[in-house]
Amino acid sequence: MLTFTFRKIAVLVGTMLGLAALTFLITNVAPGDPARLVAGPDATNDMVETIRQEYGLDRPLYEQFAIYMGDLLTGDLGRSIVSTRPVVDELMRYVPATLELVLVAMVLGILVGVPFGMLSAVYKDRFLDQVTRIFSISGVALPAFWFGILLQLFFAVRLEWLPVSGRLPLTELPPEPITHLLLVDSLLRGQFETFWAALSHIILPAIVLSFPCLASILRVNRAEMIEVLQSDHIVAARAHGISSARIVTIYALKNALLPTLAMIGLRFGWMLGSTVLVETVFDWPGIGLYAVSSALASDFKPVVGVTLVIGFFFMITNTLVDLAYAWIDPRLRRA
Amino acid sequence: MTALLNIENYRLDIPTFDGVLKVLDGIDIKLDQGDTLGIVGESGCGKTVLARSILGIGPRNAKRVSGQIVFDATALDELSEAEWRRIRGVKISMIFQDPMTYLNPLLTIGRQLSDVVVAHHRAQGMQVPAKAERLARCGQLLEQVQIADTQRVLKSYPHQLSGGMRQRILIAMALAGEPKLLIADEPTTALDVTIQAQILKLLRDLVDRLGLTVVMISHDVGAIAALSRRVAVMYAGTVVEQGEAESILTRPRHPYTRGLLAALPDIEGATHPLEAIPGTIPNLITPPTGCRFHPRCPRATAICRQQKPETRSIGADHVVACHHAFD
Ligand SMILES: Nc1ncnc2c1ncn2[C@@H]1O[C@H](COP(=O)(O)OP(=O)(O)O)[C@@H](O)[C@H]1O
Ligand code: SF4
Ligand SMILES: [Mg+2]
Repeated sequence: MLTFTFRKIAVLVGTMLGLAALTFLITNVAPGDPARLVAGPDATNDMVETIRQEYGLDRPLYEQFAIYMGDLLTGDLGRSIVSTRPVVDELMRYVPATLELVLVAMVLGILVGVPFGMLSAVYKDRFLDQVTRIFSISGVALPAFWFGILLQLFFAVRLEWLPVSGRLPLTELPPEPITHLLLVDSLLRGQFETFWAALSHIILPAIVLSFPCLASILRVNRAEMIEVLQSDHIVAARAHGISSARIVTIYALKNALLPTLAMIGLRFGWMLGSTVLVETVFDWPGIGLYAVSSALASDFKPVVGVTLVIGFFFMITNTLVDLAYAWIDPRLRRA
Repeated sequence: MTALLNIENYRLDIPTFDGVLKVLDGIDIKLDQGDTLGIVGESGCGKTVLARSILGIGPRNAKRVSGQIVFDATALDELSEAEWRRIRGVKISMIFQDPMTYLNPLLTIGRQLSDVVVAHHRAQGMQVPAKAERLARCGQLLEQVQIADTQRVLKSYPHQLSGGMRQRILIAMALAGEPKLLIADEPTTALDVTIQAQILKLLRDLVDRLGLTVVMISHDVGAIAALSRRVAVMYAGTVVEQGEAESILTRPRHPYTRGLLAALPDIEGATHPLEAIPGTIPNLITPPTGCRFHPRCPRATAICRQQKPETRSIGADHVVACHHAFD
């Protein structure tokens, strides 16, 4: 298991470097002159040339690549043209907000998707299964912005149970950062009121973001459970007198969790890359909005930064999923 | 003395997409305490469905059309799921065909065996033993099926063990609750020939030592003969001949039994294709009228196509269902 873990981590580092190289290629080799792009449409040729030198764009490609990779490894992602601030600083502001949102949405998706997938497999074609089926179909079909606005109107405007948007009320000071996740930091600092405030803000956007993810976890888990429940070892467990509850929650669920985990990994990456609609509706200060506004301003360093961050977390999740696979399934540990 | 197991006129349908499968067509089987019965028949004749029905784990959508299964004076078909828990593994238990697929691949042998021990204690309303005691019991159960390094095996996962080892473990699980009746559904079919012999010998020893009542199922007459005092021959969801193994195997009276025995390899291992039964087993959605064997039967006459033959007694313990049984 230990060598397996090390091998997975080595693969992770390798892929990360590959991704870095790929973003370099796309931004530098792809058609279009980055210097001209940076200089803007009204720049003279001289100005473009100055920028070319300033950014080192006149040097040979391999040299540029070495510099780029060197910068990356020392945590330097360049500066945003719009704000002139280091991209890393800006990412430190926006990434935790998105990460927190995605994590809460993921937890929601797993906590609801797995048990309900399991139950609708056990009660296949019965009432509960029909209800969850409608639920999971609408989860895929509902457009996020529409669903988001609907929830806002109902829970925030009409019932006034939850705030309309934002991450914290303007009057609330965020806790001194430890993990930069408000929910975690406020708990660690013992600021429970801040915790409740942060929680009430994150609920609606997290629900909207998690809905499609929840639906697909539910469907995969249901399908797998149905299949596993028909397998020979379940027949044997029943014959040996193991209780139905134990058979479903341990003997079958453990087997069904493997494909469900793969779906969870996929969905995590998908959510990271698709927060922009939810962030727009709920005015959530995350990387989705940051990436889109940077892209619209042709500010490409932040876009590269966001790409790398998303890629990084996507690969981390996939590595964790692989490790969880091996943890659950002893047959994979030798690999 | 009433029989420990009494299956009477048991008829079972399985609705499928293509139509209703008349999978069991009036099965009658009796088995006394301490006795051993072998059920033999071609693949697909309903042996597994019958065996699982005795344990209430048959196909979910199966419908009982008539008859009942009575075990130890209890009508099994009427039991609730809670009542079944006091039967499964404790009163009746089962060993299976393919030891690879009948063990959970993700749980250690120790975990699976100990769960069975716990379940049996719960089912009988007894206090669940402490962990050390459970472990000792699991070790004991493995020793009973002649597994030597019990500690290593208990820590292993199924894929780390050989087929023969896995079958021994499944036998240990089946015996954990000291059941009155053991059903063995093709316990050697999926194993290598040398392992088959070992497992058969182990079963033979266990049956003799523990005085088990056994239903042994196989399409292999040799395996049946090794373990059964009595034999029931099944064809397409019906029992065509039943009685003492000695009498049935040496003097078969039903044309199907004759064909089945003639199709056996002789001592040199060669089969006799001429004597093997021509044709294939019938479709159970629209089974042949009258005697289900008539399309393949060399002795068939008009009555065989119209009327299902009654099961009649032709010896002290020998019944046959055929209009024109051999003398
Ligand atoms: N769950 C099920 N659904 C539909 N048909 C089934 C099911 N289980 C068994 N059958 C059918 O019932 C018949 C008898 O099967 P089985 O009892 O497994 O035969 P055997 O064990 O004698 O080889 C076969 O035609 C099989 O296809
Ligand atoms: S009843 Fe007729 S068809 Fe059936 S086995 Fe006897 S002789 Fe053959
Ligand atoms: Mg079978």
